[in-house]
Amino acid sequence: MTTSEVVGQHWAGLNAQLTHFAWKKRWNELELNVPFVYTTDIITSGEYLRPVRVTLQKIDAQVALISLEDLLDTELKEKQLSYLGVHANAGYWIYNRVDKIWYLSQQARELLELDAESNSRTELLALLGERLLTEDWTALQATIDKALSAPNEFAHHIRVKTSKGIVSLEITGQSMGNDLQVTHVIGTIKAGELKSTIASENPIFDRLSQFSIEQSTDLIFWTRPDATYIYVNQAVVDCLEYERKKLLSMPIREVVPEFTDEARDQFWSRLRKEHSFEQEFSFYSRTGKKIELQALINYLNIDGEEVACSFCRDITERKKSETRQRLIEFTVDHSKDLILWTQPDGFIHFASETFLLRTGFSRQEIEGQPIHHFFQNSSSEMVRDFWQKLREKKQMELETQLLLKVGNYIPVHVRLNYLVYEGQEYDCIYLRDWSKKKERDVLVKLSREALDKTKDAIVWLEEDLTVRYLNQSMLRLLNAPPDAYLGKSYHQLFRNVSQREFKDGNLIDFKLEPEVIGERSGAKVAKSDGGSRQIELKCTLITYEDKLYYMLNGRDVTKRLQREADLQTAFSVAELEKKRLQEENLTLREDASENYNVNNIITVSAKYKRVLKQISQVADVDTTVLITGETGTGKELLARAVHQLSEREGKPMVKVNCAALPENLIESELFGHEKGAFTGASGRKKGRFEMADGGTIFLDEIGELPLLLQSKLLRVLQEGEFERLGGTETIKVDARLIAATNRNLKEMVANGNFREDLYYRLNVFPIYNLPLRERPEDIPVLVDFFVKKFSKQQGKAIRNINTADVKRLEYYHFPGNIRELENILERAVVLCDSDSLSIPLDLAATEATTKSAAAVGHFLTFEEMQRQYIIDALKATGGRITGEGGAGLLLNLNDRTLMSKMRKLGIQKRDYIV
Amino acid sequence: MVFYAPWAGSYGLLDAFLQLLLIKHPSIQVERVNIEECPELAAEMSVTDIPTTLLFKDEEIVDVFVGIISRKNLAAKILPYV
Repeated sequence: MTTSEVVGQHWAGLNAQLTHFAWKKRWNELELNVPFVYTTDIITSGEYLRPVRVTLQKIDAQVALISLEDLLDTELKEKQLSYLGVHANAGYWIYNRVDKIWYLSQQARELLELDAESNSRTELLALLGERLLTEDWTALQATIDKALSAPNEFAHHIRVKTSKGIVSLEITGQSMGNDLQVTHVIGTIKAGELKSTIASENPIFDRLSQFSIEQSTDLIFWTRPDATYIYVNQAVVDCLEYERKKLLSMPIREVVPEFTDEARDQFWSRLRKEHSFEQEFSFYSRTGKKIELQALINYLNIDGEEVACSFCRDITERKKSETRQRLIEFTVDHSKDLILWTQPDGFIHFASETFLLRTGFSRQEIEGQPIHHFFQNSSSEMVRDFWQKLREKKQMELETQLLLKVGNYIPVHVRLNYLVYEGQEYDCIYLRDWSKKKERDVLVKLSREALDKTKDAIVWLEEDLTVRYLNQSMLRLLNAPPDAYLGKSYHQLFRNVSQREFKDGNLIDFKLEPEVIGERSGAKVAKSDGGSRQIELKCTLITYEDKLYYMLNGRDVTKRLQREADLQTAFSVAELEKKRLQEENLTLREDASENYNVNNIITVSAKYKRVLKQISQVADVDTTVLITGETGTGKELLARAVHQLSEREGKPMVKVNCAALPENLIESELFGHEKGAFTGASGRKKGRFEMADGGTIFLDEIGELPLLLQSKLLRVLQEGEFERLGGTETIKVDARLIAATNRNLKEMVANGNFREDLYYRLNVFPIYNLPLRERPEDIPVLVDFFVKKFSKQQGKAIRNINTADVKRLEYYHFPGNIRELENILERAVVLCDSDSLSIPLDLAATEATTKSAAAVGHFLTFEEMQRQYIIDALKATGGRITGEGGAGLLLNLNDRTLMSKMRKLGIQKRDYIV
Repeated sequence: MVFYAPWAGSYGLLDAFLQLLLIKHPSIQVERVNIEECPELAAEMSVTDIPTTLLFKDEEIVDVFVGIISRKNLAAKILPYV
């Protein structure tokens, strides 16, 4: 514009952005003497706008100075630089050393992710210090300082932490100033390249680098965040045994199974944070071989691409070695044996965990201590001696006592092992706690003693029935040395015992036959007593540690069996004796019954009293008595009376009814028999003579004794001795003989049915027992006696007995004698239903009375005859005495005469009234 | 003192033994009591069975036995009091 275009014009008019009103306001502010600076655009003559910086300053009240600074070139330059920066993808920076001002272009700020506003030196330096990696920032500062000190040009790679991660930037710089000093340093900032600036300038270095990486023995590979390979060196190819092309197409997970997606994410998260770390991985080759690698991983970001650069070393062998080492250490520490290592200095260098645990000592209390302190009766001199021996023998074993922390000792078995390791001598000592073993030893010893001392015979057989063990008792039975049967089959021990018998719980019986001298399994065996032995063993099956054993224990039961046999024999004898005694008891009971009680002899007959007198005369001498008489006269009663009144009354009277025994048993009954004398003679039996020894033997019905036995009986009577049937032993007896018979022995002798010598031997003191008919005067008292007896038995009260009946009985001839009378009376009492007893006597018997009386020549007295005749006549007339049809008429007697006779003869009405 | 009944046969035996004893020892006195004739005395002496023999010494009963016993036993019972 020309001067005229400017002077006189309104400033607001020139100022494209200023209004008149605003200018007025501005002028008021100038009144306050405050300079004012602002940027605006002024209108040029061509109606263009030029950016200027306006400085207003008041001169006086009327004038203000307006200074204008053209900004057009500055903006342009700045915009030109910005334009270039955007398209060159680079920012620029200026450091004004004089004003200490940093300037960074927009592009530069974006690359560094710096705020647009912060440009003070302090703030910028602080930010750069945070963003750049430390080593890069330090290097950059040094480079810039160098550029400021002397004109210089540089190019630098820096790594900057951004929101996208660490990015690599390239920063260039150049010093600017005058001849005296550098006033500015300017430069560019742009995204960095992987290649080193030096490499780009040295192809040989590139090739060498490539060769070195490729051929390195370390495994070097680069991977992407998606866990794929960018590059693998030859070592990787060789180790994993894949083709390179194959590897580059595989995800890492195929060779590192543990590198899952989650593991991958964790890996990259850590890598981005730490940029570099070490880790171990397990790789698997194509053939499945496991390879342990220790990797150093580095993070790179090249052109926004993240790369993990890994340098790996194969540590497989080292790992194996470490594992082996740990296993060895674990084995040592946890071995059942207590382990110590010592050296010739006598100190303990190592103690296993087991040792510490068992002894209760801590490691500090053991390691470094003299070993002899922990063993009973040990000393350093002894330790030195041991070392000398150990060097020679290399291995030694012994037993000793090991000290525990609590103060007591335990028995231990010690194995010493000499070895040299890395030039040093060691004694590796294994100790085994023998406390329990010792206890077991004691138990075994005691068990062994018990086994050998027991009376029981004990045999152990293996599963295959070979002999494993025989205790002392069994060996004594066999009379064999201890090893005679060991390992031999059971057959040699248990002959005739089947294998089937070896069952759990089974009793095995076998006989040990006597052998004089014999060979048995190579051992001479002799029996001490020559007799066979019966052995009874119980079989028990025992399983121990999966092996089956047969344990047999038992005893020589020979004596027991013998005792049992003896007992059985004794029992049989006792049974027989019992039977005999029962029979005897029965006999004696019979004897003791009233029937045979001498005190029950009832008689008023003078004749019978004479018989009794004979009894009293012969009773207390040992004379043989022969009682004769009819059946039922009471011969036995008299025999018992003789015995009862004799001096033998305390001993038994043994009765033998010779008529009741079968002929073939009489001899056995009289004289006894030996075992086996005849079929059924299962044992020895005493005869009646033996049983009557010291007492009396009563042979009833001796007339029935077989002729054959009569001679034997005679011998007994003459010599007092005999032999049992089937026996050879002569037996002496002292028995008084009383014989009885209803037979006429004299006649029998005449007929040859009875031995004459025996007859005379028996007939020393004959007693004739009267038949009842010969003492009818006893009938009333006998009737009275029996009626009382039966009344009492039957619970009847009989006060009267029909005298006529009794009288009639007196005339009865009683062929059965006392026994018949007893039966009649018993029957009468049974039939009696009142207190008056009638004694019915049947007609036949009545007729027999008369007839038989005559037949046997029995005469009634005249008075008896009369009496009976009159009674018969009265009965015939029905009791009528006198008058027509009376007995007087029948008897041809005067009535008065008849009545007189009746009174005289004592005939009562009841005698003839039926 | 012998309590008897005429029909008791055993009394006859006992009496026979007593007779023999009396021959050797005449100082023995025997009183025979028929219980049918002297039932009161029998009852007084508590005699229920026959023969029952009471031995008296100085008017005191020293022994009693019932029934018949052997001559030897009879002598053994009586003679100590003779």
